Amino acid sequence: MANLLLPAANSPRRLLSFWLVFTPGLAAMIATAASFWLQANWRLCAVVALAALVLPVLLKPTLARMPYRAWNKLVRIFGACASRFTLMVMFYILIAVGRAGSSLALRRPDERESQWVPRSALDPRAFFVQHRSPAKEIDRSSWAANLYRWSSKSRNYWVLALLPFLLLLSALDTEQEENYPTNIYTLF
Amino acid sequence: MAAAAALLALFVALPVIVSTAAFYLFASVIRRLNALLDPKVVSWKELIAFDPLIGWKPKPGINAYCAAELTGAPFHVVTDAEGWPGTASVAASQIVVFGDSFAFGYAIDARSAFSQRRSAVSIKAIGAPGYNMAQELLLMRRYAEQLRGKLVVWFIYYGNDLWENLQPNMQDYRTPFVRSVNGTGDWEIVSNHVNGARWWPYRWDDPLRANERFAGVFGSTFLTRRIYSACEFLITTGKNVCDEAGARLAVVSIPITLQLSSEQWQRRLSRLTRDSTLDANAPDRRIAGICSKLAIRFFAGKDLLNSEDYIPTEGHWNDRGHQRIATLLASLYQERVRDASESNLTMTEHLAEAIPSDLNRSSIA
Repeated sequence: MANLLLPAANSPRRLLSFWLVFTPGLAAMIATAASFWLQANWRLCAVVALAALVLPVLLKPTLARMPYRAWNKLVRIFGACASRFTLMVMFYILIAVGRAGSSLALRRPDERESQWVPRSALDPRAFFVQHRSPAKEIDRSSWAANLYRWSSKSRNYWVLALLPFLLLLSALDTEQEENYPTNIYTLF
Repeated sequence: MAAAAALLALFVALPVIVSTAAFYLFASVIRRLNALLDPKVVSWKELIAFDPLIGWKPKPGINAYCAAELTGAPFHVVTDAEGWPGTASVAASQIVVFGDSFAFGYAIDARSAFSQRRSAVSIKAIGAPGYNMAQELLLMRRYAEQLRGKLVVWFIYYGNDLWENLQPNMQDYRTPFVRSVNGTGDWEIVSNHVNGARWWPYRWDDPLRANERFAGVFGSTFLTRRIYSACEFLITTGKNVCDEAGARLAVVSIPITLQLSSEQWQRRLSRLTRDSTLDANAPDRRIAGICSKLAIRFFAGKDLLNSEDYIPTEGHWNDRGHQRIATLLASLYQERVRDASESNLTMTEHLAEAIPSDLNRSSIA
């Protein structure tokens, strides 16, 4: 969702950027309607509509704040609906795979083999910052590669069919963001 | 079977994929254009320098753009010959404000900050992001000789000031702090550890003891007693500094945005803790009590500000918030100039008169 949502409308330049990208399409629609109803030249209508839309915001960018927020609201609603739909599609794939007979295969341990799992000492850096996990942090950017590795290692190739939908879900992440930070420093 | 199902699913989901791509493209173009329109920014670390007394301080003579840490939005920073916001001097000002990033005017263009707005009363702000009250007190002492006849306003931000008064560091910067003197019940300022070296590896989202800190500020725990005892020591010392300098001290509290919305407060509380004794008004009550004991004028920012006065997703005041604070400070100054007994107006009534009707707050219980 972070990629689809526009950043908070807290800068005049952000509002202006939004308006400059948004208005050509809007002006084209207005010009089409106006040229149809008034039987006027489309180009002339487009220039007039564009000037009428852009000039006030160039002078006072805060005028674009309401449409900016409305756009983000629209994106949030779209994100929520689209991610539900995507989850339904993924569920359908899982059902199809289940019907095809795939299942989680656990390796049966060999009775002669030890189940002992060797553990090593913590990384010395862990003692310097004890509250941090000594484990290597997961690289979130490579989760798709991790999924691919797991599916090939476990021979669950069907999981790759979910990959495009997982990518879509990550783009549509509907997790609600706080409008206001709880704190700007370290307290909470 | 899985491949056929996936192909069918892809076909069904095609409208969603296309729409998502269109939204993504639109947002990307806006971001790209915004990057072109934004001024060139310098990092905050380039704007501050080590100070042996207080740990860090903005560099003098800055006229540059800096990006707000949480939103990335650039804002114009201007500092005077000593590194404090604006170009006015302490000597030429009627009000001197000591505080942290709120006093500095962080995340908003310099001309919009309360200290640099055109007003009948000239205001000098002395503060920088991350300062605690111990640092602000040390600065008060440093400028004591120049405070004669002025109104000194001390901003206390509930987001970090109270807790960080007891900490030897702010993030990985070494900072003066207060500690209790064993067995005496007194407090002292410690600054002999302050130097330019990094204090401790820091991670901004470190949740260590978050509940305890929150309960310490808003609840009634052992830490609460320490926090407010230290705060009383600092305010008492600040009052003594001002009295000796011939200045008058007023304290203005700055709420965190959570305190301004009962819905957000309840939501955050349900995530953080099950302690039902936490109270959003507790810090104001406690500090009002301290100020009342010392005959210091106290104004709770919660009575003036609301969520609309803060920058969303950032947490500092926006243009409207700074305007309200400028009006409040002018009112506090006028209150000082007027003989209080001559006026029957309370501060709230006076602000209602002073603040334009479109800025009147929607009160939150």
